[in-house]
Amino acid sequence: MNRLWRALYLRIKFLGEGLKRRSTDILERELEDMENGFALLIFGSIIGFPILPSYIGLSLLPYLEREVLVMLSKSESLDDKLAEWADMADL
Amino acid sequence: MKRVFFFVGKGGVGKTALSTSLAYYLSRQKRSVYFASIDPAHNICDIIGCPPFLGEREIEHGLFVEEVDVESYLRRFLRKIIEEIKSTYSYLKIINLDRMFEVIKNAPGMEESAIMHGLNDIIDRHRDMDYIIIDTPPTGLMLKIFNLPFITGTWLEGLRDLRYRILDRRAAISAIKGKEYFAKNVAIDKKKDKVLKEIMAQKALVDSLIKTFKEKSIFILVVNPDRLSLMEGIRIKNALSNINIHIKLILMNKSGLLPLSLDIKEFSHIPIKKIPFLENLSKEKIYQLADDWAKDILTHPQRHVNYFMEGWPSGLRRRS
Repeated sequence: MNRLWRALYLRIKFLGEGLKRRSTDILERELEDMENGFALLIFGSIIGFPILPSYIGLSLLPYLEREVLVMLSKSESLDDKLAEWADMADL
Repeated sequence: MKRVFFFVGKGGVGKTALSTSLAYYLSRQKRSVYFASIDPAHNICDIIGCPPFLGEREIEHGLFVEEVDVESYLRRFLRKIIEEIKSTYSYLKIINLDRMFEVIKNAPGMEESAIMHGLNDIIDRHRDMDYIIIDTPPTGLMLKIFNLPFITGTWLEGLRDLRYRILDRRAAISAIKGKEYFAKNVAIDKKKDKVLKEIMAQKALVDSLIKTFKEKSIFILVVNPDRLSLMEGIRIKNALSNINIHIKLILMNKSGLLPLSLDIKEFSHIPIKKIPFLENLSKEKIYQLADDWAKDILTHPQRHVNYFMEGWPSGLRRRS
């Protein structure tokens, strides 16, 4: 009986972990999109976005290492959107 | 600080001469006055007749004068950024950042930003003065400077909200996956996020400037009787109204030198004071100029400026 309970517990735990991972996957993707958007707003003048006063971009530049890296990696995959969608759908 | 006077108008109409005369007049009334030009092509020294100097100088008892060095604010700002970048992105040490920033210094918008920071700095440093008088650059640059805090404020509000959302997501992820999920230099806590701190600092700066413009400032438009100067004056009035800044007084300089254009009708609801044309502006003539307008306006505001009594230096009103 004990073994049965243990097996059930492990399965539920496994399912819980999976759901947890799945939920953070979406959060992480959302976070990356936001960080990408933030960096694009700051450095948007480079790609023709409406420009915010240059000195704000410059004064934030020293603290935006992660956002710049996210922006660069996102821009690298821009020509491979199909693969990204497939990844999102777990195909 | 009781009031900040801003003299605005088309280039060459006499903003510097008239602001100088007000500065002299107020200092002779035993008020402490800080008088500055934020025009990169300033000429206060040419008017008061002394060799140009750097920084602030007391030219008469209680009258402090400065031709604001815009370039130095720009240099200081870029120096700070370079130091911060070098400490954050250590791998950038091999790139000559100083040379890159020499180019960025001349990028569009940088001069206006430097003047805005300079303006905030000089107002902040002279809050203990009775009056601050600012001689502004001609229309194009002047309008950009006054618009900048409002535009910047809107941008900063948007960036602040987005930053809050980013930090909320990071906090949610780190609560599930543990703090070690993010690299050490990635902030999760709102209090520790340097980006948010910088945004808030910039927001406080622009808010303070906007508050000064709206609550402590008197905008004086200087015009000449000719059509071009009046038309530009109309444009200035309208552009400033768009950001809720209103001209409180119009000084018609060089009155009588040219026939008065009919465009003056556009200013029918704003008090106008005529200033006669003075040739060869010497110190004595500046005093005379002050007697002609500043004394009259400041001691008898009710004759000219009935509806904005609240905004006028009340200490100088003659009590009846």
